[in-house]
Amino acid sequence: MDANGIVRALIRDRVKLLGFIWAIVRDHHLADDVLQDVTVLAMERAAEIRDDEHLLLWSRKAARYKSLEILRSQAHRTLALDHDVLESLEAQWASVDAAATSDEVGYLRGCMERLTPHAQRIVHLRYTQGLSGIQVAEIIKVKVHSVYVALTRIHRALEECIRHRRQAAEGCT
Amino acid sequence: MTDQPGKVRDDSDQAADDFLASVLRYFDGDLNDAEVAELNQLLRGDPTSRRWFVEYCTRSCLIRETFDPERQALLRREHDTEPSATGGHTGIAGALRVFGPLQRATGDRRQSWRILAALCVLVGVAAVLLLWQWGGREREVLTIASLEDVVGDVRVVTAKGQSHRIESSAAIKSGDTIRTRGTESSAVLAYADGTRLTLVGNTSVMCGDHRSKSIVVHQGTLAASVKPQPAEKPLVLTTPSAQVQVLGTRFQIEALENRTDLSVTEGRVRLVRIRDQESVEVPDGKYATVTERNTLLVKDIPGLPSTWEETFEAGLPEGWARGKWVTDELPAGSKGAVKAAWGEVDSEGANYSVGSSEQWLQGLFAVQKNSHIHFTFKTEKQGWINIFIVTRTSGSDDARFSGNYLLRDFPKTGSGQWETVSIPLDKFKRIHRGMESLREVVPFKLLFVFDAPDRGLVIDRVWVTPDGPGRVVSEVIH
Repeated sequence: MDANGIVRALIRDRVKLLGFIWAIVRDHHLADDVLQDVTVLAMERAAEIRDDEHLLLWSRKAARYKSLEILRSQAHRTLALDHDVLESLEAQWASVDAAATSDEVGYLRGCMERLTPHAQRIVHLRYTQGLSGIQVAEIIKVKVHSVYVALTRIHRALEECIRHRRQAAEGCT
Repeated sequence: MTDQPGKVRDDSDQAADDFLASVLRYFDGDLNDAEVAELNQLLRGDPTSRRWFVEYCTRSCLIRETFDPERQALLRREHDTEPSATGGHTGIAGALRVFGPLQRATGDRRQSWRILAALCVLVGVAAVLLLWQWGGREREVLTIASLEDVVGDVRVVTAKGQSHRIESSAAIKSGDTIRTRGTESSAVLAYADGTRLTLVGNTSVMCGDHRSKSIVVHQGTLAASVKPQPAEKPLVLTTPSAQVQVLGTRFQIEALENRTDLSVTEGRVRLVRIRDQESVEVPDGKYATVTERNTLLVKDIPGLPSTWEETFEAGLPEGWARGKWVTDELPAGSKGAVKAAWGEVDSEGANYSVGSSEQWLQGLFAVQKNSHIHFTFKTEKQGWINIFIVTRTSGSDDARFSGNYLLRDFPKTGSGQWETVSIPLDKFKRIHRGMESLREVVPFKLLFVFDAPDRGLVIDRVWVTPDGPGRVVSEVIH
């Protein structure tokens, strides 16, 4: 692949890679940093990468090593998932590679609209403001357990809604 | 928001819920060793748990990428400034802008691969150096600002939930939440570059990432004086309904759960509604309001009017602080009134009270030489009732609580009859230190307060005019 092709592919699929990195480092900003490093590395190794599918597999491996490297360099951060579990997850992640991110964004937007304003607020606090369960609980003045219960239900609702929309779209094509 | 009506939850639903809750706590670092081991065991041995985990991570990142205005703005900026022939983003500089927080200068896409490779190595080395420096000096870097000029009830809550009352000053770290409580409380969040955020009244903000000035405003009022910020790293204030992006200016915001008011006194500020990303540029001398679905309009900052009125005809006004709306036994023609309710008034303990909304930014009314307050009311029992006018200083940039002005000699009728009373505002006496007259400050809250037993105070209408009889006049309504 050429460098431009790599950049285009990584921009298109950045969410899939960010999700994987975030699972390891558990910090969105750190995940951004790792993805940046992986991008630089992928451009350096462009000649070794065959196609988009190979790029995602390669990038995940590189991201795993970069993530572990960063965790090792920061004494207060630790790897909580075992190495064999990370390998299993890497294989599992390949199953979401086929989904087009642009379609998923459309489904997500539609499904978010269906959440109650309160649920939307919790999602906003958790994911766009990056707050922990404790911090969200303080803001909306409930117990932290209630926040986790609410988030769990929100995710279940989103998951089901997105799946229905995906199936409906696939049925149309 | 959650389960569909009629759907029966089974064991697999419960297992999924338990697993997701465990994953949420994993990302918060809240699992103990045994729970981490259990999570590993599930992910190792159960393909369904692995699928759920992967879907959760992907969906969470998709939400962040899709609904975080800051990230969307970054992607849009990249898209706007560097489109390729194929409509995508090309070049290492473009890639780095999109992928990471480290902003790089635009590169020439037609440079030779050798130059790109050299740049890659340099960027990599720089990134490693930055990470090394960050890791080595973490404690130093994480202190992002200091809390100064602390007045009243001010607390800092750490990211782990530990709360500390601040008496004079404090170092503020990334993730700290600062709370000021009570109308008399305030504090200044001071950054090393001279940027100052003044928090007043009942306000709560959380300081975000240490690499940029990002503030989450949970609720309340703050005034900001912002030194020029790098174009790619504006100061970002996020309220529950809007995001305010600032490059260097002075402004004030007031944030409620579903409404944000912004007034700009210098420079320009971008106001973005979080729900749909609609945005407006607000220049100096203007203000804008964001609610769930309003049309974003930029208007002139209105001058403080010399008249003010609340009639309670259609309920309590938005943001009304104290009292219960009542519709029975009203004066002829009236449809509603407010009855004093028992509850906590700031940090002064519980009382019966009727309290207006806090209009910190706009103020309630301007006080003139012959201003009067009028109200139509009734009380069932005799006893003292105090009226407070709560004020702030008049400067809009760095306004602070000024003082309370008190009227002690409230008419003690207790007859259950409706009366209208007019009182010159110069009868209100300042009870805080200082000699400022009411005309020199900005009233932002009005309170009627009394202790138990309940006097049965009901106010049908309250209003302020710039004129009046010049003395206390009371008239019974028959």
